[in-house]
Amino acid sequence: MSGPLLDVRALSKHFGGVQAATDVHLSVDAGSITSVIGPNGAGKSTLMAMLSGHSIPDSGNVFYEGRDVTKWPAHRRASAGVVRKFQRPAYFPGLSVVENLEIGVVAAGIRGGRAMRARAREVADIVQLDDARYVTAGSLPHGRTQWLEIGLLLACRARVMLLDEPTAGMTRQETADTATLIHQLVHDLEMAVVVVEHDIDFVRSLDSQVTVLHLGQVIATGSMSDVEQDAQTRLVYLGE
Amino acid sequence: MSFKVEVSHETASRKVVRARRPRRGNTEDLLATVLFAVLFAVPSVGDSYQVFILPQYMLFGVLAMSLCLVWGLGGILSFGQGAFFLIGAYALGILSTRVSGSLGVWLGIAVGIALSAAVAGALAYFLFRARVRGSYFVLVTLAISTIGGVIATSASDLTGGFNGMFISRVQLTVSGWGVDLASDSTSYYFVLALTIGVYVMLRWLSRSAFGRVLVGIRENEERAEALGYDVALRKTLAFSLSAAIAAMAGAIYGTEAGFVSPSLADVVFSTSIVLWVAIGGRDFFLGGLVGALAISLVSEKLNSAIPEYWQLLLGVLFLAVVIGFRRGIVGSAILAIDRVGDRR
Repeated sequence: MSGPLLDVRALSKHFGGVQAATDVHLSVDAGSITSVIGPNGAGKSTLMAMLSGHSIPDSGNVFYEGRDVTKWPAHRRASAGVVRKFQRPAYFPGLSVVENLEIGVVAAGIRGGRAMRARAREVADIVQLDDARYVTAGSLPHGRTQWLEIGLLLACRARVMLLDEPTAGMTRQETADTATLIHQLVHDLEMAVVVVEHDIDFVRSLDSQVTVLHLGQVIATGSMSDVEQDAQTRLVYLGE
Repeated sequence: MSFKVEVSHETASRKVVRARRPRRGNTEDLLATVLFAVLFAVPSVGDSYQVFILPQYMLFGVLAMSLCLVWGLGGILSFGQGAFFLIGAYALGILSTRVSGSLGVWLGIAVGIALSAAVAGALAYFLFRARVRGSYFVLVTLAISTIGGVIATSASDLTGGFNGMFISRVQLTVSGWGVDLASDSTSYYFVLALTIGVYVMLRWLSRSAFGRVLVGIRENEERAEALGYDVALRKTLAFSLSAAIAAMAGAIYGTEAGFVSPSLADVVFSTSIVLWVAIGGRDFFLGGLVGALAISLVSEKLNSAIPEYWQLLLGVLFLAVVIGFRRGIVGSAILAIDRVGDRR
């Protein structure tokens, strides 16, 4: 396929007098990681919501596989392959891990008990919940619910994963493991991953393309080391 | 697509209670089989009054199961089931007297079901699309019942108004073959078969992809939507199907009881349905069925013995369920049986 998998052109969005996004461009290829960083109120969550279909921009377009999906609602975008992981882990707390994953598997169009169970098991292995398959999801420790939700995204065959602060509330080790997992998914499944994060060390370990947002505007793009050299970024974000 | 992710894990984060794979929960089906066997035996051992009255209670059970579908599986509480029951009963009553022969009967049942499904579907679609849910949706369903009752009262040319309408026992026949509900024992077995049929169908539905997704919507609507499910559409389908089942039960109830009045759509009856399901156990179709049968049987006895206190007792029971007994009778029984089974 030619061109980027997800192409964001000139997105703008305001809430009342607050300009949450101004002329934001972003280009995401299959098999790549894009990190979006910025201080609180930079418009990261707004951008995420516009990518996932939870918010419609005032102007600008979102193209996915060359199609204009700007006005597609969230469920339609998700079933096309652009799936969001929420900041607070969102899963089905009253169901077991495997039942959770099966609901994701059904979204991928897989039917029939045996095929469904097999695929759910496969996904549980990938996100290392194989030992907890029959545990009620609501009783999992926080870090593992983050992985469960990533598992849900895998189960429904996401091609673009939108990860909203995937390491929030994780231990240092869990954070490092999450970076490894994301690298594996991108490498083995040619998945495109967009990460919004606060944790600079985590972003550094992702070794990805970085976009810096400030007051709704992109102020720098490049590798993490490029961005860290950028004077404006140092000023607004790193506080130097 | 299998690969190994080499990640070291802190033992702490892996410390989860290892739950065993649950034995595929057929306890509900087992208990249901026992119930159906007992009901099957009633005409041979019971008296004629039981054979006359139990089909009506079983149809209340079907009505309760229709609520289990939306409330238990989908988490959508509805006080509108009484209205759909009423539509089913009136449609059969009106059309079976105005259109002669078996055509009128079938037409009555079909129109009742179609009308209920359509009303429920249209209303639910707009409400769910507008993200009306929770107690706001409950209020709308209460209004559905009220409106149903008002129409039944005011359209007296068709419905007999406040006095209600008598419906004779009908014959369900196709080119001469079928059942004549005029006989109490025939109609008993017919209603029992219908109840079993609805139970089996709903159990199948709950295990299907549609049922699983419905449970997902109950557990986390936002997540289900963001996995690619059109949540509003699926909730609408569930609500519409539940209305259709309620209408079917209502049609047969109309001819079984021989009488239908607007009181079927009033707040008391609508609340009763919710009570049956809550006390029986909303997470299981058997819970709705048992709740409806048990409460109807007990209230029949106690209504004559302690008419002043029975309603109060029922209210207290409902409060107890809401406060600390969420699983209800059947839910608790199934949990207890499964625990004993797991310990073995």
